[in-house]
Amino acid sequence: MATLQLREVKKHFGPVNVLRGVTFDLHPGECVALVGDNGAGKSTLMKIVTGVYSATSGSVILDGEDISGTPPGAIRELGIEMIYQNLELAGQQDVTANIFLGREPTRTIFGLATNIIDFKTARDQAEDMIRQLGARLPSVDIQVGKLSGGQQQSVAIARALTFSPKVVIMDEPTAALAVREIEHVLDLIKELKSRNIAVILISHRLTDVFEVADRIVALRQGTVIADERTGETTMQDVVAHIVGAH
Amino acid sequence: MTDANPAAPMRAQGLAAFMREKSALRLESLIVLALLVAVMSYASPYFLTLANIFNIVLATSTIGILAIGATFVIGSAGIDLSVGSIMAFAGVVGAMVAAHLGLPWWLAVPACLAAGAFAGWINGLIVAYGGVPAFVVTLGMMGVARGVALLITDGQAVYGLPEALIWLGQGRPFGIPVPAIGFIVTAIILHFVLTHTRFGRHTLVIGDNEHGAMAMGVPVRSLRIKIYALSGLTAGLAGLFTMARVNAGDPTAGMNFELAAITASIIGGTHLFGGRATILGTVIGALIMGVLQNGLNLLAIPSFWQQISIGIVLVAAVWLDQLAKRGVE
Amino acid sequence: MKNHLTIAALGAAVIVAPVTAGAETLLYGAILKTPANPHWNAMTQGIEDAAEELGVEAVVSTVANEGAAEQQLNNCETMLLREPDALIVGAINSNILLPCLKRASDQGIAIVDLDYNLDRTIAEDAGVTVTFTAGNDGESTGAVGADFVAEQLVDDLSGPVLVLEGLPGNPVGAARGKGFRDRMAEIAPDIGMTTLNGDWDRGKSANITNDTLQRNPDLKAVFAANDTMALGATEALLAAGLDNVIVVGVDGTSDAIQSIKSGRLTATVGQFPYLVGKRSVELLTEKFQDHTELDSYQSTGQSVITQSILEDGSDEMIQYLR
Ligand SMILES: Nc1ncnc2c1ncn2[C@@H]1O[C@H](COP(=O)(O)OP(=O)(O)OP(=O)(O)O)[C@@H](O)[C@H]1O
Ligand SMILES: [Mg+2]
Repeated sequence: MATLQLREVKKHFGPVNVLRGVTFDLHPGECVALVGDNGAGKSTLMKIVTGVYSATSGSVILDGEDISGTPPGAIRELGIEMIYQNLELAGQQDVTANIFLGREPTRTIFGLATNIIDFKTARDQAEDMIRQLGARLPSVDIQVGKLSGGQQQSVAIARALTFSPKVVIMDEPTAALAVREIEHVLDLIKELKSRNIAVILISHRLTDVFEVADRIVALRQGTVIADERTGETTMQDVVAHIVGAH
Repeated sequence: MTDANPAAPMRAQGLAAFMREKSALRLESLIVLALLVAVMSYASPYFLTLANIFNIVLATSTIGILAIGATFVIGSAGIDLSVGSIMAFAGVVGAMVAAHLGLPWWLAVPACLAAGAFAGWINGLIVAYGGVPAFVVTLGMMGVARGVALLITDGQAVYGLPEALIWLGQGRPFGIPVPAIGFIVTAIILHFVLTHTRFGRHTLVIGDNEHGAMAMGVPVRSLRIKIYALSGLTAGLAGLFTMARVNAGDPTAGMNFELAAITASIIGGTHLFGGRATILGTVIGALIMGVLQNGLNLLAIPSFWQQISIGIVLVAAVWLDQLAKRGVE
Repeated sequence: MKNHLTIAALGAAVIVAPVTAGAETLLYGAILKTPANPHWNAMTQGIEDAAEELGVEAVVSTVANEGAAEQQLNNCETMLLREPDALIVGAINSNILLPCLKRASDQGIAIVDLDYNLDRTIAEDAGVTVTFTAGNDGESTGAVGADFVAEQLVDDLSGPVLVLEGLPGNPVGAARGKGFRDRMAEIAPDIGMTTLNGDWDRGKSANITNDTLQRNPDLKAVFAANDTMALGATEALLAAGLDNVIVVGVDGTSDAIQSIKSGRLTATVGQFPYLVGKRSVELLTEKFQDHTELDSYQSTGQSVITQSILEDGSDEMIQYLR
């Protein structure tokens, strides 16, 4: 059964129709590449999945349950994580705070749950996560704003993977990276797939897409104009879908 | 996954960089405070005595408590211009409860706090759900709270409080003024709240990147409401102490105190556009202003010099900070 | 159709206004400060009571707060439309109303300055003729305060004495402080005096009093340019365990009177704004009806109010407290 199903998702911002009914499925361990021209509606669609925006109509279904309209925090609890195009990091806070943002481990006092943050647990786990990712950061205590673009991307990725998600959405995760770092992201996606995690990859780099994606969904002006298995299409075809030559 | 050489590890470059890294506390503001204390001690033999130190903390307590609330608000990239008025409003409500309504004196305490928190909560509600900029909402509340305070008192101070209530403003257990104790205790509690609780950390995060916080599941709206309610609550507390200290609920109390509170917080290192703030820094900022005022009073220097010097210290503290930052980067 | 109606309505308003103003009854327009301040409330009462007693008409306009100078100018302009016989003016500052008052002067409207808020030299330079000033000038008020303090301290006139003025740059507070110091220096040339600005604020005045006590633990007296500051100083002194320091304020506000009654504040130099308003209307009416020549400065009386006076009612002025 599909992990995530989008059904006729529509969205308009005022008079502007951004999504005109998008439907596709995502299966466990599968990587779907979402491609399309600038402004095609890719980020908007994914923000609807994560609850940042609410759809005008249509539904988002996770493991058979309609989760449309669920707020972002609850969506994350359900196992959907997204690495946003602009990363959405808090630059003046440290790495640990960013990784645990919204999900800080708390302490109990005399057996009672409190809102007091358990910094030691958070810090240890953050370090662990960074090490597992093989990311090289000077320290998890450093302000994120002082890290390089690639390092910041690592933090955003670490944040998405710390809570064993079912679905990971990556919105142009390689845009800011050097060649070697891009390889790492692609390896990571393969690793996620092998752990049966479903991945949606938004990217303008078709070579990346063809390396890791199982399926390619092309959006144009808010509609799906192609949904093909990677092995059954070619780069030229995909380019044609994106620019609308078909 | 970044295998590429990481940026050279940020080693603490001296104490200033260390403090910036660990606590957002400006070393500069501590230096300014130390300098002021040195100058004042030299200029006046009455300055550096235990009695005068308590005296300074007492005089700083009102602005200090307001500034602690302001630190949360500014830390969240908001602004609260209504705290001076809310302080007067809360003081008047508390005084009326104790002096006019024939209720037990101690009810004035929850009355002040509730009145302050309520006004702040209204601020928060409109900011969070009305989408009206905080500047406008709290500017409006500045007028409304002051106006209501004047209205319910007919412009007359509510005078003559029960002795037990006056003790809250005038008592000196172990020689320490009660409002000074209140200020210090508030600072300690809210320091802990800001640094150790999800509420406190999220406050700074929404000041840093509100949208990101929202995407990560931080309940931004209810958080904002809580932040403004907290600011109202501290204003209510300041109103309580001031009312008890001067034995009157004065509807004209706290004029322009919102600006003094913001000034103290900024001198103390709160980032004007949110994201970074410490209570310790704010306390130091408030003390700088208190020491200046106290010293100039001891020297009987007219008060326009106080205004001038506080203005200079404000700009100097922020400027020094900019210089130091440039030095580090 | 709609347009015609509007024009008709406007016309009616214009026609009605002069009729209600009435050529027979005298009309006085009062341009006061904010009703949030009890001082101006008492003033309004005095004006209205006197007008009713004498059968003249008084229209009172007020502004939102102590700083609303522009609004006061608008009120003045609007008041001129009613063609009053006199304007009774509590100006927010010494110059904002001058253009309006000049037109009033040109139209022969009498102008009463309340509480020395207008600067007579500046006003006359601007072509404004002030009929008279009603109230008490700040320096005389300060002097009355000094006489009282000196009387209390007669055994030891060495001081030190703290003088609290209002906001920096405010002429009323400065004049009261100066009047106090000048008279005090006459009586006791060697007395130690410190002057600071209490900004008309209770809490600030309490702070200053505390600070001054550090330097002068033997503080003998405090003279404050208004009651609010005097009350702040009183409470600070009591909190410090000092109940024998003389504290004198100015005004006679209700909280000051209560404080004096309960033995906290020593005294206040009562200003009786009610009487200022009342006397202004009475004097104007004398001028119009009996064509009396009036002195250019009309003192409306001030007197020191102490606990014993309040108890035995020995000063008849206390009936004018509001
Ligand atoms: N909050 C918003 N209000 C109004 N219009 C919006 C909003 N967000 C996005 N849009 C519009 O929706 C359209 C789709 O934007 P979106 O960011 O989803 O595109 P995209 O496919 O991610 O493009 P890119 O490849 O450039 O990232 C654009 O025309 C954009 O201007
Ligand atoms: Mg996008």
